[in-house]
Amino acid sequence: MSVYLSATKEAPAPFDDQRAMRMLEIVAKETGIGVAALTPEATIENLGITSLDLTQALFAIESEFDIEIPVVPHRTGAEFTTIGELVAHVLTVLDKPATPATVATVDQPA
Amino acid sequence: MIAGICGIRPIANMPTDRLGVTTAAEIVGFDPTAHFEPRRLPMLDRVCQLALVAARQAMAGVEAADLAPNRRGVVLGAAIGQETFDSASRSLYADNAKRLPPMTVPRIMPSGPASHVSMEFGLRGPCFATASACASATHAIGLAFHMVRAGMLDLAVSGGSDASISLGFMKAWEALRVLSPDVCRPFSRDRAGLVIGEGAGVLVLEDWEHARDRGATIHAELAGFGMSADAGDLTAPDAAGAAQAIRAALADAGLAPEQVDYVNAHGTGTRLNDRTEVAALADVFGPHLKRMAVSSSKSMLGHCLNAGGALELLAAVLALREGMLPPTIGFREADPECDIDCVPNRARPGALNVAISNSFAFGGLNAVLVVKRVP
Repeated sequence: MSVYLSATKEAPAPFDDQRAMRMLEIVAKETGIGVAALTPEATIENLGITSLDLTQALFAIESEFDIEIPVVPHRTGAEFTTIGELVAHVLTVLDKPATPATVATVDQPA
Repeated sequence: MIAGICGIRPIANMPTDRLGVTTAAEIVGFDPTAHFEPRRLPMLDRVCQLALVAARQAMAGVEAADLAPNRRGVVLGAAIGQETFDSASRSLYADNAKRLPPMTVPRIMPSGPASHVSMEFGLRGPCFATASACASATHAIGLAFHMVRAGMLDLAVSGGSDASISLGFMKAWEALRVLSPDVCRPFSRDRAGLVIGEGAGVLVLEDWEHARDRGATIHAELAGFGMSADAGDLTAPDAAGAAQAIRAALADAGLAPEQVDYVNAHGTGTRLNDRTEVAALADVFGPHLKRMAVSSSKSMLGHCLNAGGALELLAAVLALREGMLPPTIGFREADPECDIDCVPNRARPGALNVAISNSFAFGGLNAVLVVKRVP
């Protein structure tokens, strides 16, 4: 687990990743915004992406990669501030080793 | 509600292994056979059962001889028979059933609860169901109120019921990414979304003189109703649309904003709803908002969808009657975007004369009711 965490911290800018580029294409298709505008620093709000469009985009990304993207806790309805956050969140899901459906024991002391 | 008891618990009425979110405000241990004859049950989806049980409580004390049947009506929030819809779909598509039970259609129809209430109580005036998503019951009560006020009806049975907690319905809500993983914390900075609930709320609305003359117990005076449409986003709320509905309700009641003491908020516990609702309240009430209490019963009841507006109006009525402000439970941390007195975690006494109940539904459909205390 600690190896995994440090690996994500030291990861290069997310958009070097081919999968990230595919995500951006999906976001662009779902929102009608050009890929070029979807920079890591661009904010969802400034781009004018509505919560509904964002939800549709996340659903399309889930379908593309056959994953479930968990809701970011305490941020329902406004899960990501920037495109970079969105991409990073999905990449952590993609890079996560397959886990059983229940992860309730993860946070318990050893 | 005054005790601040939370109805949100791990889902017990169905398996949850395919769900990401496994909590809801369910009615647990409801035994239909304790309320209905065996021959009648095949006609009654759970949503109709809940509506009837609530209607019986509301109609207790109304004598059959009190009124002309065609001067009594029913307006309930439209609510499909989700339990029947799910079981029919499963048996047809998954189990390849050759046929479906004959009562499948009447059990699913969204006007079913209204029809069953009219049948049980012999209410032969106007009877229909209103559909406006999470504002359905509020629209129902508002229309019934206007019909009584206009002299079309002497008495209306109104409210809403909902029994939608099924695998398909919960998966659909999960896909919207608005469900809290645990409890509902409206107006708290760490709120994490809404929690689905089920239930029924039914009220008897009656012409004032008529109720007084027959010696009815009058719990409160329904004074105003306002509606609006955001005509904007399909799911995101809009402060201007919400404010317009609140203003319309106050105008209908002939009251100034400064006369309102308590708001039973829509208060879903999503980031977007709560901050938008507070913005709408600030717009309408200005500095007076600081002197008002604003709480969300969804922290205890969950979001009961088609029944929500009725249950929440009842909370406002009881607040006026008892002089007690119901709390917003689960509150942990103030949010600068929700700078209100949300009656955090504990009910408290309050000198209340006027309350409003807000419902702001998906599709931008807003409905607000105003109630006054009966001296």
